[in-house]
Amino acid sequence: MTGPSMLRLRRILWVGLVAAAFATAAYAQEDVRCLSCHGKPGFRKTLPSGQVLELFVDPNLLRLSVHKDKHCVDCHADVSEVPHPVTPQPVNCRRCHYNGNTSGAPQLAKYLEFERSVHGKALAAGNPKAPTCQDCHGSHFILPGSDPRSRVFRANIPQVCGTCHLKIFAEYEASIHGKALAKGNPDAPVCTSCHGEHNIEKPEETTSTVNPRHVANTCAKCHDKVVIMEKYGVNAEQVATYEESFHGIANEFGVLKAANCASCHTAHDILPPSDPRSSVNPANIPKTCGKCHPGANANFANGRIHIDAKDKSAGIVYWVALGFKILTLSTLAGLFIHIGLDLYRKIRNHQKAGGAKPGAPSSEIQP
Amino acid sequence: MTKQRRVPMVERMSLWQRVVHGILILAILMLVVSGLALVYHQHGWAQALIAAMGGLGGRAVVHKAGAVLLVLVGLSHLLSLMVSPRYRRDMRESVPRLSDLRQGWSGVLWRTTGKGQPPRYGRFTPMQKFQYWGLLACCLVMGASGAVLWSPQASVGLLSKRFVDLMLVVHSSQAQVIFILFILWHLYDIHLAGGNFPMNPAWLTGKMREDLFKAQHGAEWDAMQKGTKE
Repeated sequence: MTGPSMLRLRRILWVGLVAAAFATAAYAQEDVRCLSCHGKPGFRKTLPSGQVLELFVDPNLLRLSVHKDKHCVDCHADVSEVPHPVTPQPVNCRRCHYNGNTSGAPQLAKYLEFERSVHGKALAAGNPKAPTCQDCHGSHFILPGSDPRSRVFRANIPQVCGTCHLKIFAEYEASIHGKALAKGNPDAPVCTSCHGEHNIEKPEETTSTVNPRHVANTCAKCHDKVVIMEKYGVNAEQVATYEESFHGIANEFGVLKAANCASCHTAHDILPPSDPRSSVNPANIPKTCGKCHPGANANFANGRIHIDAKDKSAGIVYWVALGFKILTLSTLAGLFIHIGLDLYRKIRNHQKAGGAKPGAPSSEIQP
Repeated sequence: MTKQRRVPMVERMSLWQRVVHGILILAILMLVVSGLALVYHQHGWAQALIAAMGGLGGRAVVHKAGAVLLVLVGLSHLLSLMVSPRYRRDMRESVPRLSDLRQGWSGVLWRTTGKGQPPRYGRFTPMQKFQYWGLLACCLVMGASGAVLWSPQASVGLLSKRFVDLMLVVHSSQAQVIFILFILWHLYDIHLAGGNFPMNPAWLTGKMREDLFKAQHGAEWDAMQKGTKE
């Protein structure tokens, strides 16, 4: 490269570098301007409704979050003047969070799932209680789901959902699943394990994971896995035995009033059968069955509900089934022996007759 | 055609017996089709059958209608035994005897060794007797367990979950035995074996070929020739 052109390139590089430095400084300047108010602890506003709006933002927390490189106006894009002549609108995460974005956000289309979900539909319908992204993920201190400090970290999910779903959260906390989670059990299901995350739908929706059509499949995600169930002494055949029961077959053929897992075990306050408060404690079975079968009595509890005729735990049912299996196979063997003997004699007679006339009556007719 | 007509035939079933046999076939087909479809509900063919019957509810109607039909066949059989000398004669002929065991065994020996003469059976072969009484016994078991399963909800309340489970296993397992023993085996024994292929027409025309009759019911043929039987 010749001297003058080298010089020109250097100039261009310098100009670029200085411009970039100024731009960064300008951004930083913006943040400083924002924080001159929002950085003061106790900065809040009382709305005409009496509701207090906390407006303090801890810049240190933001710098620890996944958005540590972002500046205030990256998200609060409608703010350009201080003080704000109009009330700033809630942040729209979709500015960056869409499939194909160039801002470095994950290439996911979760917001599309959210739009189709019960929460998204409520939001679109103008329901003021409907959650937005921030209600679950937080706003300035958003962390990846794998970080235990994240609001959407597995173990924190019930609390986040419980912010709105108070009664269900209380039921869940007392349930066998909730207690297991509290003990730090990584197998314990949280809300999203059964309901999904961004795609949560009403149970009435046919595609919902908790629709009566799909409840058994949803529970089966864990309950028919021997590797998980054997750790807790729970029979992994419960799903299969349900599917072979009157209820399971009816459900399979679209009779949705037939009981599914949740009909008997309940959805959120599931307790082990040994717990006297459990809906499937033997003492409570008549009452539980009585929800659909009026007048259900103690005879409903006399026998196993999840019976597996192929397992010795079925008692007499197992032995009778085994006996019939032997009988069926013996009968089949008898038929084959009968046919075999007939064929053998037919072939021998045919050979004796010299094989000259295949199909001659003498070799065919047999008593 | 003329040649075929000249084949000598022997009467085997009366018109009434053929009508009842036809209704029995219909009842058992209804029961087997709707029953096996439920037992094998996870298979595509069973699901197609259930759909063809109008879903689970329709399947239950077909099964219960088949059961009622079978009970009616049983009742008509009892009535026939009371009023018809022919039925009573057949009933006497079908009583199992020790000679049936001997003849059955000699049949096995003749097939395996080829020594001696093939056994000469009476009006009913040992296998036919076994099938008649076996089917009767099975139907009683199926009837009793089926009555319990007619309304499982009422039965659980009246008896117990355990007992209804037991009846369910008995009913569905016994059905498979019946299918093998009284459908497959009967079809083989009567319609395929012993030169009857493609079928023994007695269930339609009431008559079977004389040469086959002689071979399969030798003792009965002898008795008929002596004039001791019609």
